Formats: sequence, structure tokens, C-alpha cells
Amino acid sequence: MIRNPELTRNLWLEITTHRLIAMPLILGVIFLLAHVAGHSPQGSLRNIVNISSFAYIILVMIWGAKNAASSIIDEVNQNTWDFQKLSSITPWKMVVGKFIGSTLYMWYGGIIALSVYALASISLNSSINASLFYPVIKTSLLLLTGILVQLAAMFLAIASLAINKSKPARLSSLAFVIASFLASIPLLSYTLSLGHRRRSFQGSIDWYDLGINYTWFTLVTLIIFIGWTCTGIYRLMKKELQYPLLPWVWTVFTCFIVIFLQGFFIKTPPTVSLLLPLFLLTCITYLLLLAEAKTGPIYKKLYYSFKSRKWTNIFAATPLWVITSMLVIAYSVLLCAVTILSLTEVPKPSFLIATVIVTLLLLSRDILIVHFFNLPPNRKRADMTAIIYMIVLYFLLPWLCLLMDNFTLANILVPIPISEFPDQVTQKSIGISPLQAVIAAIAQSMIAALLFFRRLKKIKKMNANSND
Amino acid sequence: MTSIEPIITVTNLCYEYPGYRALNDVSFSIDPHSITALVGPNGAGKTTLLRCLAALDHPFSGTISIAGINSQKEPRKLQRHLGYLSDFFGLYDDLTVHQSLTYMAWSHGLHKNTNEHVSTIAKKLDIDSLLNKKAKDLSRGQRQRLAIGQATIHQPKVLLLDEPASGLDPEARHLLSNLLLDFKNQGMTIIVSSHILAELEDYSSEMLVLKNGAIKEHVSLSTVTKEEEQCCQLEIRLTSYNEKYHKTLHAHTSVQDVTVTNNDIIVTFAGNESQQAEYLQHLVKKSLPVIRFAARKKSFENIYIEAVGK
Repeated sequence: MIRNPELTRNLWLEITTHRLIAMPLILGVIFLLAHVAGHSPQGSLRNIVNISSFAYIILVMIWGAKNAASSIIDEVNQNTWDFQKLSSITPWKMVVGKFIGSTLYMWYGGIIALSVYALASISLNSSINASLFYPVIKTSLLLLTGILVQLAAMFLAIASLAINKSKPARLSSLAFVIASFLASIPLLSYTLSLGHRRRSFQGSIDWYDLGINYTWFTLVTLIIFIGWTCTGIYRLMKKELQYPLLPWVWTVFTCFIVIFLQGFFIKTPPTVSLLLPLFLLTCITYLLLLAEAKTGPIYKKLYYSFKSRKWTNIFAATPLWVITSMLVIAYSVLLCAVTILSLTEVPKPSFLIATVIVTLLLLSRDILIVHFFNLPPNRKRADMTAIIYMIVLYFLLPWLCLLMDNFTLANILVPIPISEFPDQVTQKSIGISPLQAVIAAIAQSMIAALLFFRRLKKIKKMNANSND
Repeated sequence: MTSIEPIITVTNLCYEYPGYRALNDVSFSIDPHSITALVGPNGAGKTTLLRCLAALDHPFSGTISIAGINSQKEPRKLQRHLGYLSDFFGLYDDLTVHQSLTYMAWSHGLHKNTNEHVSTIAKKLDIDSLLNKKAKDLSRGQRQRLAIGQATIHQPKVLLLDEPASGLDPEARHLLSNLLLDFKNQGMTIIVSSHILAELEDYSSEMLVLKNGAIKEHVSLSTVTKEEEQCCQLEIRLTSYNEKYHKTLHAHTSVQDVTVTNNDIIVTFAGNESQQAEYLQHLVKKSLPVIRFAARKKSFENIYIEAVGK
């Protein structure tokens, strides 16, 4: 007896005798047609290889991914999610039941297609005396990519619930399928082109100067990211099922991403490689800041958690963008300390410290801008408005200033500290001295803070009046 | 005299949606084995309150305790003792009634004797003849009963129902009333939110009136009855009214006020049932042509209107 009710329920819906017979029958007819269409034995094999890989992509990476996302989205759209949240099914059983149960039928067809692909590829390669290693490795890559795409679609679906805590509008799983499939295209094109003229299995990648075989690196990376996606889904499911969620896994994941990506830039100058983690962490903060909900109740809950002085409550109520911005601050302090204490050789310490301070100040300015637009209760498309304003501040206005030959204003708007100032730089250039950059960033942050607190005061007054 | 320990205790509950406070400092307690009618105008906060009680939504301040379990500290433990049915509930349309109930039984950890659990609840809900029918083929009333079955298969201590009677025909509503009384008699504590006050009157023992996110009234029907025993309004109808009856109508110590409209008389009477009988005898003895004599009951509607008007 299967002790996973969610898996059983999905199997009741997905697996029927009719469907079990129909899948191999339809695939068989398609492969037969592909075989007949080939004018030579090799041509037939090539057709079968192409058609089977295409069938696998359709079944597993599109249809299967859709089912994986729908296993979450449909519960919300059909108002059955509350029943599930009130059940005593554990988060892990829920994830396993939904993922395996909803995609099993697609995997049934996918495995048939993939087996035909592997056999046809091996036959084709042995007929032209090519290496048999390619079909095996390509099949493995396809299999792992299929799993990752389905998991990514499911992750996006459950993340959309976690982000949008007010009842989500009729969600469509299609958006998540498209997003996860598009993200997998480079991986797919690499996999399918392996063994062809310009894609050798022998190529290597300089990751932390290790010179690892490109294909092995891809395989291992895929497995690691499958692990992280599973962890992400499990954690979000835990949150949905009312378990208190502490952000330590998120912190470890953020650090992993930074360390992983840093490996590709190991040969860059020391200043760049030292600043890279800061920029990566800042980018993640921006991403979360725009993705997470920023409503009054969320911050009120955080405030009351602080009042209760229970660390579990505080961490559980803290938005992830706050946690990541703490990492940005921690790394900045570490970087400045290392530079000031001369623990590492940095050519221009003042430039590096100024860059760190300017980054922190501009980040705080943008956090205030985003919250400025999110403050009004009747706000609409607040995050989109904030993005537009940031584009104006970072690109359009400076560009306009440059076109009008006003380099001073452009440098104030985007205060980029440069190490060569003032000896080699003329008045008409992008970039200002570290001190000027810090002053310009402080001014911008102060203006943003002033505007934010003025609006906050106004809204508080409005709320007080409406309560009266 | 021993006081009953409340099964639900809510203290200073506050819940907010962006820019709008749905529950404002709500506090109340509910005794076990009772049916509480949760009433209030649209947007009063009934659904939010029920969702907070079910630990599906978390308030930013205040506490909820059900059967001694704090909803914020142990929401999963609390949910084991709860059954909740939302106003817009959904069913797995492609599953049969038997599969739906089996799934729910397993979901609540009832892996042993599942068929027994399923057939018991199906019989109780009068859907035992529909076990092999798919949920999508059921009528509105049958779907409602299946949903209640799903919410109660694990025999929760507390059952929360949000507008369970909406869209049901009179027969299905009658069945629902009987079902709720049955659950109550088995020891369940039930909170039902509804707009149909007359129907709530049939089975509710308490009424909680919510308006603008605040509790306006929390009355027990037994208290109302006791109050009515002390003072009520008597409706008297005569075949024809004559001015000479005025003195006779006032000639009892319990009569406080008399209002006459044509042949109908409303008497504010501060006396119990035996005093009412005594008063009727007095009227008949004095040859008043009485064709109707009844104590006017304070209906749920009256209590509700008074509370909402506050």
C-alpha cells in the first residue's frame, strides 16, 4: 500500500489503462513514420534520433513541466489548496506526491522516447564508427535537463504562491513552463550539438583554474542545481504548510551561488574579483526586493516579532531581501576591513572602499524608491513604476546629460568612482573621484529617504483619520 | 458550581490586508459542544476570522487558542483538531466520492480501516449511494455534503463552516441543519458563518456579531431565553377592541406598558410563564374576546439588527 495519499491521488487521475496503452501506440506510430521517411538505413536512424529527442522534449520538458506546475497552481485555482494545507501530509510527502504523481505519465512516454533516442544514437554512431560515449552522455544530459526543467516549473509555481500571499489571481502554469523551458534552451542546444563538428567532448572550462571537462562540469552542475531546486521546493512547501521557516538555507544557497559564479572570474584583476561577490549579492537583493511582497502587514508582523524578542519569529517574519542585504553589508564590512588592514594586495584601496560605499548607498536609495511606490494601500504596479524610475535614474537621465555635454550632472546621477582620478582624467569623462562619488551617493540616498519618510508620514496620518 | 473551560479562546486579534484592517482587537471565547452563528454584514471580517481560527492566515498580533493549542506556535498540531470548509470550496472533480473521502482519510493519517471511516461518514451524510459517482456529476447539495464529509472524516473537535448553506435548496438546507445538530450532539464545537439568520436560529446556541472587524455582540441563546422569562412582549389579538378594555389590560402588576393598534395589542410584561397564564385567565374572566395570546420571542434577526445598529 502506498502511504503517500498525494501520490495515490495523482496516480488515480493520471494513470488509466487507456492512457497506458495509448502512449506507446502513438509513439510507435510516430517512430515508424520517421523510419519509413528515411531513404537509407542511416537516414532512418537520423530521423528517429531527431524525432525521439523532439518527442522527449515535448513530453517531459513541456507537457511534464506543465503538469508539475499545475500540481500546485490547480489546487489554488480549484480551491482545494485549503484542504491540503489542513491535512497532515508532511511537506516532503506532498512534494514527492505532487512531483512524481503529476509527471509520471509524461515520464512513461519520455522514457520510451529517450530509450529509442539512446538506441538509435548508438546504432547510428556504430554504423559510422563514431564514439558510443556521446549517445550515453547526451541521454544522461537530456534526462537531467528534463528533471531540472520540471522541478524549475514547480519551483516557480510554488514561489509565486509564497510571494503573492493575498489570494493569487487565476494563475496560469503556462508562464512557469515557458520561463523554465526558455532557461533550459542553452543547455539543450549544448546537449543536442554535442559530438557534432564544432562541439567536442574534449573541451574544458576554467573554473577556479581547474580546467574541468566541459561535459562533466555540465553534468555535475545539473545534478547540484537539481538538488538545490528540490531543496527550494521542499522549503517553500514547508512554508505553505505552516511550518516556521528560518532563512539559513537561503543564506547557504546565496553563498553557494556567489562562490560558484566567482569560479568563472578567477583570472580577473584582484579588485574586480574582490568586488564581484558584492555585485552578485547586490543583484540578488534587487531581484528579491522586486519579487517579494512589500505590504504594510508584512512589516507590522516583523515589528511585532521584534517586540516578542523571539529569534525564531523574527527570522521567520524577515523578508529574504532583508536577509540578503545583510549579507551585502557583511561582505562590504569584511572587504573594507581586509583593504584597510592591508590583508590583501589591492592596487587602489580608496577606489575599492568608495565603490563599496557607493554600492551600499545606491542600494539603500533604491530600496527606499521601491518602498516609496509600495507605500500607498491602493498602489498599482508599484514595482514596475519603481523599475522605470530606476531605469531613468541609472540610464536615461545620465544619457541625456551626456548628450547635452553635461558630464558633471551625469557623474552626480551615476557616481562611478574611478581610480585614475584626477591625474589622467579630463573634466569630460565618466567617473569621479572616490570622495565625490560617495558625496553624490549620500545626497541621492538622503533625498530618497526624505521623500520616503514624507510619504510615510502622510499615509500614517491618512490611516489615523480613516480609523477615527 | 463548575465553570466550563472554553474550547476556543481568541485574544486581541488583529489582522490586516494592505491598507485595510479586517479584524481589530477581536476577543471572545466559545464553549465546547456549541454551535455558534457568526454573522455580520459583507466585509465584516467573518471569512478572515474563520481563516485565522483555522491557522490558514496568521494575524500580526493577538492569540488564538483551540483545545489548548496556540495557533501561532503549533499551527499544524492545531489543524489536526480542526475541520474547515471555505465558502468557495473545491472538489477533485475527476475523483469518485469514495476516492475523495479515501484521499481525505489518508491525508489525515487514517490509514487503518479506511473503508470503514468512508462508509460511516458517507452514511451520516446520506451520500452512501453515490460512492462510485464522480464529484463533477453531483448536485450542489451533494457536493456540499461531500465537502463536509471531507472536512469531518477525521472527526475534528472544532468544525468551521463558511457560508455552508449558500446556494442550497430548502431540502438540502434542512438536511444541513440536522447534520450540524448531529455533529454537535457527538461533541463537536461548530462555528457557522451565514447570512440566513432564520436558519441559524434552528440550530445555533450562540451568536457572534461582527461588524467592521470588531465584535458587536456575543450572546448565548440560553441567556436570551432567561431574559425573556423575566420580561417579554405579549401579542394579544381581540375580535374587536373597545376603550373599556383599557383598564382591564392594565390591571395586572406585571404589565408595564400597553400599545393598541386596531385589534392588536402589545403588552410589555415583566413576568414569568405562570404569571402570563394568570394574566390570560384574568383577561378571559373579564370577558375580553381574546383570539390570540403569545409571547413575542426575540429572534436572531432582532438581536442582529440591534447589534449592527449599535
